[in-house]
Amino acid sequence: MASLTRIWQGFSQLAPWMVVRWALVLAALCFGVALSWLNSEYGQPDSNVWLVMGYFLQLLSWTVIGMVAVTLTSSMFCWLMFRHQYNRGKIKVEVQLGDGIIAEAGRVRLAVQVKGPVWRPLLGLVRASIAFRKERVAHEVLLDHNLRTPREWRRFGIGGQGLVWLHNRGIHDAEGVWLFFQDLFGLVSWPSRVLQVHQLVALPVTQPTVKVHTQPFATEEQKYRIDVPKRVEGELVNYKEFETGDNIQRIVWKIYAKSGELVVRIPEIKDPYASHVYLYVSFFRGLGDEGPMETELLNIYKDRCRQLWESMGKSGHQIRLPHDQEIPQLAGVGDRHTELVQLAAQRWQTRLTPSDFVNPQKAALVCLSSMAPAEEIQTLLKKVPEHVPVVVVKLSTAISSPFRVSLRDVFFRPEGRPADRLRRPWLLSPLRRKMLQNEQVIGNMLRTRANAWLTDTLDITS
Amino acid sequence: MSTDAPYRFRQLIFRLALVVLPTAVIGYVTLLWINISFTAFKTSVWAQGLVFTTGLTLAYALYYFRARWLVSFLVLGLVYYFLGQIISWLPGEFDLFYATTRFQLFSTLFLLGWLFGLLLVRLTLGYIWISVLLFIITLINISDTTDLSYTYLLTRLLPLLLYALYLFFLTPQLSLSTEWTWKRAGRLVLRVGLFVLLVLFSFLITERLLRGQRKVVEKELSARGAKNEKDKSQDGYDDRHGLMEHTDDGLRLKDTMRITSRMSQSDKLMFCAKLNNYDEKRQPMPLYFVFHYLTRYDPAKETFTRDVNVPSLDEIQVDPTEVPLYYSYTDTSIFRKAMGDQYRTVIEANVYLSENTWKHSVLGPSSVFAIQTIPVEKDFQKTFLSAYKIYTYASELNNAYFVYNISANPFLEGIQEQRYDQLRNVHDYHRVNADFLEYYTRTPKGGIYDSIAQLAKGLVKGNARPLDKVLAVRDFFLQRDELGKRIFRYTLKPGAVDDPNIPSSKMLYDFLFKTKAGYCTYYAGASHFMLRALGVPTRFTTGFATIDRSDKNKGWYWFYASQAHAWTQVYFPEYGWMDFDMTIGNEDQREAPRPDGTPPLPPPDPWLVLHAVADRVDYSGNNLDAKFRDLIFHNTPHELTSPLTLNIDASLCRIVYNEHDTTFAAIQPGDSIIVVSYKDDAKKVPLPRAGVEIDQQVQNFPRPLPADEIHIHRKEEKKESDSTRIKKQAKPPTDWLAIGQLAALILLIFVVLVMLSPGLYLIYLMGRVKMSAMPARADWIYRATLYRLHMSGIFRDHETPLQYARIKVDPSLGLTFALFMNTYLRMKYSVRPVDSGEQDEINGFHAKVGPALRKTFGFFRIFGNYFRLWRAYLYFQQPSQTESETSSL
Repeated sequence: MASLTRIWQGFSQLAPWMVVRWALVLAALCFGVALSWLNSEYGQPDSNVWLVMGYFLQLLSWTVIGMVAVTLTSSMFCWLMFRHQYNRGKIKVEVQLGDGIIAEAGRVRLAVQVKGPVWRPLLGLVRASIAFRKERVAHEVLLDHNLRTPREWRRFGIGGQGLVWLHNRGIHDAEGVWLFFQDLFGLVSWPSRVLQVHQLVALPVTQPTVKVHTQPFATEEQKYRIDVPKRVEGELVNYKEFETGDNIQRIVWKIYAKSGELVVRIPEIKDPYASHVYLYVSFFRGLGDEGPMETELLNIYKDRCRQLWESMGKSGHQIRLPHDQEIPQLAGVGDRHTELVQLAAQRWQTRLTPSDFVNPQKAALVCLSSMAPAEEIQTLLKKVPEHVPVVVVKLSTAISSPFRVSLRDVFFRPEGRPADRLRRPWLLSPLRRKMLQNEQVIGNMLRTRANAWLTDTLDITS
Repeated sequence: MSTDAPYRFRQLIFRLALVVLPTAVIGYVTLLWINISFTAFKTSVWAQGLVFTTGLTLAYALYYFRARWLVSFLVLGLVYYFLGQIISWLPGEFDLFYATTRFQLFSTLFLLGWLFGLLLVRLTLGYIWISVLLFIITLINISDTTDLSYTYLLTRLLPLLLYALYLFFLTPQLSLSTEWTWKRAGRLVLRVGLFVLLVLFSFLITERLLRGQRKVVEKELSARGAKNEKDKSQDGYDDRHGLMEHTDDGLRLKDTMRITSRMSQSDKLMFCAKLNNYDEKRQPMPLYFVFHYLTRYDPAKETFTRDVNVPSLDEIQVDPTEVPLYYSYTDTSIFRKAMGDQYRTVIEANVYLSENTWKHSVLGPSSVFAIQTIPVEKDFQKTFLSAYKIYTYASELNNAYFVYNISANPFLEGIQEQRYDQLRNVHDYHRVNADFLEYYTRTPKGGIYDSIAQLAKGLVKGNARPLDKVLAVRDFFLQRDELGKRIFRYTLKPGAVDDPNIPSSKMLYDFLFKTKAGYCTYYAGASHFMLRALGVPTRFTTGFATIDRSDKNKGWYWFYASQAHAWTQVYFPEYGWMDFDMTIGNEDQREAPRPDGTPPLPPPDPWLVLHAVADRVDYSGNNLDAKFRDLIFHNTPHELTSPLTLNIDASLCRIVYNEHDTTFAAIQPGDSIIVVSYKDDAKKVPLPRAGVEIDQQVQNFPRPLPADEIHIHRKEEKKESDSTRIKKQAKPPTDWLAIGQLAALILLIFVVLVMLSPGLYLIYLMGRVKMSAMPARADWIYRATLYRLHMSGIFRDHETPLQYARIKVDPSLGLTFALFMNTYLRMKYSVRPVDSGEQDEINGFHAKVGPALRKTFGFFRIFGNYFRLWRAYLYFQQPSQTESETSSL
């Protein structure tokens, strides 16, 4: 089975190079069979029917052959021209996934532009798809519009946009772009691979927020300076003593006149640094191995972590998200998304146990997955004070059972998702069995503690 | 881009328009062809198309929204079952049969549409399967066509080819994760248009290249004896359809034979005939009038068809409209092809055709061998359009009363028995040609046909004589139940769907074994199969039942649409083909919808008919010179060795043009005319002299020759008239060169106007500047300046006019456009009146624009720019964000 899968994967990697498409194979097959049948049915030399039909078939065949020849030549010519111009550096291919840096996992917008002297085949198509480093994404976009500067008749390139499905939450490295020059009937498709390095972080998917009560108790000293003078609406303002480096335009001279103190005016906002909240999210894995199921569980876990992070953020506290592994720093990401990008980039790790990772003095909430062994969680619980909530995300139900159907599902197939193929294997997976056992132990363990939950829905209000 | 319901619904609409609509159209076209070929399908093709389209659309929409196919088919099966159950509760045997048949047909079409919808949504290459399926259906449909033609194939297969290519073209674009917007759909429509043009262009080119081969094929077909398309158009009917269709004549036999409630009551007069067939007591002996013999049964189409290559077809092959007046056409091979010489006699009949019947085919009793066209008396021309005299080699044993009308007429019964005695002399068909026998006893095998054959074989003993077999079949239809009531009955509503005129095998089976009710085609069709199964050569005959309803005009018969009929002809060696009408008597049919009319007067007997060309016409003296070579002298056609010119006295003559009376002035020199002179006591008519050449006899004709009728045939003689007269009198020929030159001139003017339009627009603007006064003048100056700047290549993109003036115009041209704009905008939005200084400033600016442009760009370049149509077009386009400007990257 494994070897078959490998063969299929190998074949899939070759698929873009297949010039001949299935439509041509099937059409040729059908045409051959039909011709053979007609010949056997009517092919008698003295048959009037065959005389007329033979002529007619000849007419149709030559019409189709003529058209196919023209369109194949056209597609091949355009492809060769593209290769030639690209090698000369006259053509530039630009790709953008999402907003260029980040996008929420799922359907991600893909825009491709080919700038330079590129031609489309006669009434044919130019398609584009992205080649990622470790995954194969089948979605393609059609480069069907022309790039023009305003008030110019001539175009300077072609472009198109569509959606690609990036399911895994994390970093996707694009290595290149496939461009396919397809003929009028879609019978052949001339491939061309263009190098194009591009990186996108697929963020965990937004979930509805839940109520989370955390107590900020770890406050850091913060040197806060107002860099830009700002008009303050309203009358309620705060003042702080002037420090070196503060903008002198902010000095309130009225107060200086009265008291001789140099103070600067700051807007009345809650000082975010006065109440920091540390959310410890552990990606420690004691069960399972590297594989598609573990990856899918990681996706779900990240979604839950984002849900928790956003829910805690609603209280207005600044959330700190310490991480238990090395995370690559990504430039150009706004403050708002920095934590999410870090969360998305996390992977399962086996080096740093939760008890070593969590700082009990700082932790406002600890989040773990049921991939962590019960013993590790036991150790952690002993270390973490009673008032610190501990949430263990139950992952055994993360991949839904294939037998779980609604009435609507009886009549309509639900929207297909990449993880659907795992539903049946997951049901019989040894990892699931182990995880269920682990969760049972964890559940029993957490019952003895007031501030701890084993949940798959983050229902932690009770 | 979203995946919500409105978005998906919009995407569905696009796909319905792009995929489902063409599929529905091709489905309808295919159904149309099938309906023409298969009698079983003959319900309304629109209804069929609608049902098919409904199934297709519903399935496409449901599967597009990811419906499960297995569940949906289960639901469909349940609906089908329950509807079937509901229908089975319908009261009345015939209503039930009717409803069941229709339900089965429509449910099949609905399911087929459903299947197509499923394939189109679920399979990426589903369109290939659909195309293949449609091709197979069409090929099966056309496969057994006896007279296949290029046009026939083209009409059947070309739409399919177009559809298949279209889907090949479309599907790669649909399968991509493309969001369909109106803009994108518009682009696609344009591409589809170009694609269709490309296909047609390729087809025409290929057709042109292979034209030579086509001619070879046509020639080969012609050599093999098949009717070519030209012949077909002349005949006016299509052999493929069994019962022929006419497009250029009044009622179609197809319609006529469909003896539905509508047609059975039709009182449309088809024709009338004077049949000179009497017995010894001068009692009229009517004969059925044959239209065509349908000798071949096509099991694929389940219909009887006419086979022109049939062995010994005693049907005269001539188009009466092509026989000139008083001329005749004789085919003596009919005597041989009649395959019988016992009790045969030649019978003459005059047939007068009304506007409702077919002027291209010969109507007459069996085995017509000669036809002569005759004129219709003036008083009857409103009723009858044309007439001909026929001579038929008929059997004395045939009679319209041969099978059924025997009761209550001892005289006829006696004749009947005498005839049967004669026909009983035929013991078997051992001496009949094997091919002939095989052809006329050929029946399909299996299923229904075997059941019918078994039924027939149960009626007679194995060694029965042919006549006894025929009578056994007749008696089968005449049998009565224990109450003395007839088991078989005549009905115009036999329960078949929409009453197809030729019943299918299933209908015949139901007729024989279940309903036992039908009309003539059911009886004729059933007896045809039964007799053939018994080894009796039989053919399905269509025509008219002849009913003698009038005692006033002996020998005259009137034929209405309701008398259209089908019966069986049985071959008896040495006696030929005998009519046997198995239809149970329909008393309604015996009653004429209208009483017989007044018979047209017989045409006078002409002693001379000239086929001539008018040479010199004397309009004042009503005479003309006729140049002729062909003539009919005392009913004998002759041809002179050299053309002769005779002076014709037309003073008392009737002039007929295009079957309507006209005056002598209508005759033009060069016209082809037929000059007729009748026998008259007042005339000194020369008699034919035996042994004397016609060229000598012609010399004795009276001069001037008194003519009684002249028929003008203008079309023909134009070819023969000399060129000078044509120039004088004929309509001048179309001067295509002049038309082409005119069209080219118009096109040239149009192109020039278009090319000049940017410049003309500038002239218009400058004119408005000249003619207007302040403050409107400032506005026109502003417009003209913007236009001039744009055409010079200083484009305004997204800037405000003031920005445009400051950033682009003033630095490059050294103008004071910004200053002008300030003044102009103040004028436009302020209530303060314009002072003279501002006016001077505005006028001064206008005067400076031209020189500044010329200085910067040069006169010739500026002049040339006013021929740049695209640039001018872009001026009227609002600068919009193009796709390349969007922040997609």
